[in-house]
Amino acid sequence: MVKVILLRERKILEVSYTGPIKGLLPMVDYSVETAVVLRNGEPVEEEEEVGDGDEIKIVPVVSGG
Amino acid sequence: MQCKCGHKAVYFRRYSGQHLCSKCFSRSIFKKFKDIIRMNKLMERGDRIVCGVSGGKDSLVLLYLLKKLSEKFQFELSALTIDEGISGYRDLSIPFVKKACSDLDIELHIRSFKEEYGYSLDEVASMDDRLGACSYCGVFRRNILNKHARELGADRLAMGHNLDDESQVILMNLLRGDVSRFGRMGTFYRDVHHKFIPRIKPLREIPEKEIVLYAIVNGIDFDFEECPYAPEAFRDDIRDFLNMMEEKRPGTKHALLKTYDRLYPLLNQTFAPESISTCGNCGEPSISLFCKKCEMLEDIGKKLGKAD
Ligand code: SF4
Ligand SMILES: [Zn+2]
Repeated sequence: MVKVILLRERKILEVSYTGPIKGLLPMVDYSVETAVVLRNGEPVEEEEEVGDGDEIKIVPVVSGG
Repeated sequence: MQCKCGHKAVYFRRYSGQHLCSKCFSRSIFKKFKDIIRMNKLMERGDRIVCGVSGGKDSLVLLYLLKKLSEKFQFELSALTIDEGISGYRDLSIPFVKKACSDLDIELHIRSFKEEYGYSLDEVASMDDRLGACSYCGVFRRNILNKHARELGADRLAMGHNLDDESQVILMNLLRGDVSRFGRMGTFYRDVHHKFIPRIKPLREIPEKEIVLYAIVNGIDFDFEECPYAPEAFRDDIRDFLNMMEEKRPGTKHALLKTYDRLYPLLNQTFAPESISTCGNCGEPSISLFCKKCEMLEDIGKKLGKAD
């Protein structure tokens, strides 16, 4: 299970997924253009892999103004 | 992937094909920001720059970059925040501004709609008329920013618009048929009125996503909240469309801005207002006899009763 923290939605999900981050994004309604992704607290490229035990934080690109 | 410097990449910049580590990424943003200022001659040594700051990521990143630049390139820097009076939103973002200004040692000025006009935006929005909160907010904010920047002796008013904001507005105006607005959106639009403080937008070529990443890797704490009055369905559609295109064809947003910038001199020549006069009521720059803000305030006064 991947733990996915959605900052804007203030939600934490457990998603069953292994593979590149960019494949996970559409599953939680985001895309490379709309999210900055932190894996275990560090920003990462969306080509990077995630899997069991990882924590993914989704920072929304759109906010404030 | 690795950055060309050998460190682990944190960002893939798809429109240029670069894999960047956090250091090289931050350096590239600072360089881009400096290049935009230099190539467009946005400011001069010794200028007094007032930065409009909301507490969101764009304006806080801009403030941070300006501070960094001011350490090398001498100019005066202060921050101006407008409190529209939107509860559950601006009251939450202002603490971020205060924190950033004290960390960076920047003088902060806060002005509110309430003290300036007698009404908060929440009160104006309660009228529930067809114009909607954003129309009032936009006109009032422009007025108050300009007026107070001028009172602070500003040579330039710096605003945090990013590439996404700019490309969205270009496409919106294009699809609305609003060609006259086109002549007024350049990097550096100097109005033809002595009371108008020229606005500069040094982030306008930097994608919104990179602003967020820059804030994260540089420890800039910003407010995530979105304004409760931000419903603009049309902008949301345009944003989704541009994001979809950018994903399919990286570089789309930059291309749109570049096209606009190349057309800008022609558009400006044809569509910029020939002269801007002075509002007969408040003395601020205005295209007609009375400025939009004064017209709106009169209207609000009729509906809500005179402000105290
Ligand atoms: S979304 Fe509308 S009401 Fe809210 S701050 Fe922006 S312009 Fe003002
Ligand atoms: Zn590097």
